[in-house]
Formats: sequence, C-alpha cells, structure tokens
Amino acid sequence: MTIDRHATHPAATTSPGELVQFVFRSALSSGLLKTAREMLDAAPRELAESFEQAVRRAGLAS
Amino acid sequence: MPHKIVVTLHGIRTRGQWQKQITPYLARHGLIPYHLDYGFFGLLSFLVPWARASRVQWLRDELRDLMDRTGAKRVSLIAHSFGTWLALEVLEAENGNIRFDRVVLTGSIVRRDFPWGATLMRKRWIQALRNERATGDWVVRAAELFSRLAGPVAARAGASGALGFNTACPGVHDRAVAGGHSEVLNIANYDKWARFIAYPRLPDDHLRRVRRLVQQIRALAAARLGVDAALVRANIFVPGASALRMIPGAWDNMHWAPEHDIELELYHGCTGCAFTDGTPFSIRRLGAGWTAGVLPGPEQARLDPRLQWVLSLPIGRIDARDELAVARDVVGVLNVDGLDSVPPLLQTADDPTLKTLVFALWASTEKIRESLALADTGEPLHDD
Repeated sequence: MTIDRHATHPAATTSPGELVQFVFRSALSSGLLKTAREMLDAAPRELAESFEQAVRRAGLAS
Repeated sequence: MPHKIVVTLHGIRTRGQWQKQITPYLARHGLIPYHLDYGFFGLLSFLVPWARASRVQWLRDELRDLMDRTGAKRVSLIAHSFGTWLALEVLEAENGNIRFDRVVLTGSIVRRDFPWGATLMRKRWIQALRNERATGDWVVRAAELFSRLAGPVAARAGASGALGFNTACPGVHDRAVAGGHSEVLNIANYDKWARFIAYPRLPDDHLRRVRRLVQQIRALAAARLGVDAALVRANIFVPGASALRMIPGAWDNMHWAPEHDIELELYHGCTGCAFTDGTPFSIRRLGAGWTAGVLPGPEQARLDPRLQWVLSLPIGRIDARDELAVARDVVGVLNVDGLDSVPPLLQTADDPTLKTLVFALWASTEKIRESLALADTGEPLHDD
C-alpha cells in the first residue's frame, strides 16, 4: 500500500481504499483551532488542558 | 503480555546485598527477579585478564541457560560496578545472540564512548537503558585511570558511572546524584528501576491518569461522531521488543480478549501507519472484510468481528515548525474505534468538521504523551 502523503499538502488528504491519512498544515486556520476548542468546551478540564498544552508546545496557540 | 525476567548482577568485593533487598520492589511491578552471584571477586582478580574473561564466559553460560530454560527471548538487567562491565562485554561478544530488554546500570565502569546509538539501539540489542550515576564516585574514575595506564591488558573500562556516557542517544536515560560508589544503590531508587523495567506495563499512578484521559477522549469522540458511546472503544499501542502492542489496562471498553494480544509492525494497519508517519490515520471497513494486506492474517483474525472503523492518533510532540504538523518522538498510538457501523462523518474524509475533530482528539493526547514519556524512564507522576 502506498500513501502519497505530500501530494498537495491539503489540510487533510485521502489515500486509496479505506485508509485515510490526515495531514495538517502547520499554519492551521484560526477557524480550525477555534472550532477544535469549542469541541472541547464540554469536555473535562483535564482534557482541555491537555489540548492547550499540545497547542502551546507546537507553537500554534493564538 | 508475559512477565519479564530481571537478572541482577553485583560488583567486585561484594556478594550483592542489594540484590536481595530489591526483590519485593521488582515483584510489586510483576517482574521476576533472577539474582546471579559469581562469588567474591577481589580487586586483584579484576586486574588479571584471564580472571575477567572467565567471568565473562560464566555470564554468557548463565544467560544462555536461563533463556533456554524459560523460553525468554530477552531478559532485563540491573547491574552494579563490575557487573555492568561484564554485562556489556557479554552483549558485544554475543553479537546479537543474547539481547537485553531494559537495562539499569549503577556505578557503571563501562567505557564512556560505548557505541549506544551505532550498535545497540539500532540493532536493538538493548531496548532501553537507565544509567544511574554518582558524580563523586572515585571507584569508577579509578577504573578508567587503570584502563588508560595498563594499555592492552586492561579492561576497557570507563567512568560512565560518574560522568555519564559521551553521546546522548534516544533510549539512553541518564540519572545523576551526588555521592560515592554505593550511593546509587540507595533503596529509594529501587521502585524507579522496577517501574523502568516494567514499562510498557504502567504503574498505578500513570495508569490511572492515562486510563482517565483515554476514557475522556473516547467519550468526546463518541459524542462528536454522534454514535452510541457503548459502541466506541479506545486503546493505546506502544513499541516493545519487536512489535507494537497494547498497554494492558490503558484501554476503555475493550472486551474482545484476543485483541489484547495483537502485535503490529511499522505500517501495519492504521496504527502502524500513524506510528511510523506521525500523523493521524483512519480506516473503515468496506463490505465484508478489511482490505487484504492491511494487517497480517493472524493479527486480523484477532480483531473483534464487529469492528468497523479505527481512528489512530500518534502520541508524540506535535511539531509545527515545518510546513506540516507532525508528531515527533512518537511513543505510541491512541486508537479510537467503533463497532457495528461507520459513523457518517467518518465516511467523508474531507469534511472540515471531521478534520477539526481529528485535530482536537490528536492534540488532546498530550498529557498521555507526558505520562508515557515519564513512565518510560521510570519516573513517577509529579503533578497529579
């Protein structure tokens, strides 16, 4: 099975068959980050903290 | 996951009282101690090449015998002083025929330029190393001095038990304390060594936190995918000696027992792809079966027949310095998967909502990464 992961550098790429690779540009749209945070609104605080920690470490925080 | 055997090996001018003391700490983490004793070995014997060689041969025989009788492909090791030198001599002499799992060196006199990266880690002769050293250890410094002065007849010894090894290498963990040669045999260290060797089996503190986060991620995924949480499951795969395997207990809603023993290699299935590439992957079942070749037959046969989809999230430091955000230093893969049917959202890979959800779940694994990284070195949880 081959996966053409760098084909177009979209926000997410699909690969042949049922296997899908999700590729995220480093310059994430602010909309994606905002919506992801909203998804975590109702989640336990520990999980939201985990998310924010990753985003900060990755330099994606805004 | 089979119980690990831990060989302990004492140093010179001692019969290794610490070997008896450490037994309950090893047992507490499900480890099987196997204490080796080559008798009282004096300083003068250490200076005699044939005396050293006879002990190397003795250890080779002991380890072969142990592995033959138990069927173990690898054993773990805790060694002190001359025992560290013996163990590494055996490893090099055996050229891969004897391999260690996880190794703790204490008061090590192994030479400081030992080629960890070039030989052992790449060839997987050792899975991971914890070098416990004392900065004021004059014994290991004397061993290095002797090695330099005596030339070819000397043991290839070094002061790694005081100064550490020359080169950093992934899988080699260095711990330093102030004090002398026996300071590293402090009983306060025993539990950490046992934790280090037991990995990827998690000790209670890490397991509690990891399991809680896994439960939370599973619940979030189920809610956002709009499916019954009872049909969604979660588990974590981490690399072992030869394959990716599930961490026992670090799962949620995993009731199909054969799956607990699945072994995956790089690029095997969704999990293997996520681990290898450091990006999330998903896979869904099309029709009656999974695509041929995605998993090796025996592993595919272990899957719950009701399994319909898997989302694999690499657990690593998400790094956005280059054009793409990828997980670096991947320590494992968190899988969220589901039974009976594929949620509509997962059938539309380009849907922005799905992409956002995948990112939210992926980034939420950070505290799991933190715990696994700590557990891999034997350190307890600090902030929980």
